[in-house]
Amino acid sequence: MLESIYNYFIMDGYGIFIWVAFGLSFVILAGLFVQSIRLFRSSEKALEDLQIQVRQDEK
Amino acid sequence: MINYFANPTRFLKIAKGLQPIVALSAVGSILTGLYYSLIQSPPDYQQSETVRMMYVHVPAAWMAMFCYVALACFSSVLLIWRHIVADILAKSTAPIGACFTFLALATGSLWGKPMWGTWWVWDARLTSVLILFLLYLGYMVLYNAFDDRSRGARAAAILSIVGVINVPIIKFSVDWWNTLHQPASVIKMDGPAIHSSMLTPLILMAVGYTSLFIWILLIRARAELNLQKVHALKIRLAKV
Repeated sequence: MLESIYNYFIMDGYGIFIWVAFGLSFVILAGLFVQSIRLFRSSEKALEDLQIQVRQDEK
Repeated sequence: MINYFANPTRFLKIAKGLQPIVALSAVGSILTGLYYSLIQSPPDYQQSETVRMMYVHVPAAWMAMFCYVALACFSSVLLIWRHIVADILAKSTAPIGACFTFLALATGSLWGKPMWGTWWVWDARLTSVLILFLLYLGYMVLYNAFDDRSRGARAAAILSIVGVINVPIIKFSVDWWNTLHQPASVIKMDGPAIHSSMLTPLILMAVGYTSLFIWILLIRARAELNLQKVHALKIRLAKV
């Protein structure tokens, strides 16, 4: 059982290349996604704050 | 139709409605694609287990070119009709395309080392993809190089349209020149040359990457629209 799991991760001796390729893809795409969500949230916050300020100025 | 989508309010409404659909498609396709890529698909008779890198490398390379064509289309709409939504979509596409291009280069390099015995060669396919990556970087640098946003947007749009000539060069580089890179085996005139057990995860990952691109694009475009409103409000406040 353990040997078959070990063999699966080793992938015929190419495991290091394969797992790094999949891991790098995950890190880059997840990082881009998180950065985009953060950009969106900060833009929403900045817009809300300014809209409140505009309303207060108009009063 | 272009004028229909050019209205920022209408665009926002469509983006909000579209987001859950593409999110579901991205997560579902990528998870199923990973299952097929890493567990179900067989090793290749020549390349052994290294063929699994194809499932992240090839869709990334397709997306790198697809994003650039999308960038050039948005830029054309910006230059011809001066639609603000086209400007926002073009600006939001560039970093996503750059990430996919970087991934295509990096995963290609990781695949090249065990198969070719080298991380990098200056052959036509690899060099033209590197140029694509530099075009994305150039677009982003040029866009932000001017104090006047619209001048930066126009200059970057021209660069992206001129650079689109690189896309067919990438696609046909393996046919026009002798390269280490293998020729096309999926998108070709006489149909795919790979077995369905390998084509299935490849298509699933490609659908997943495309959905992820649209999902991230919509998030970034909505953020950019918010930032434009912030900019307009700041000007309004300054005048008061």
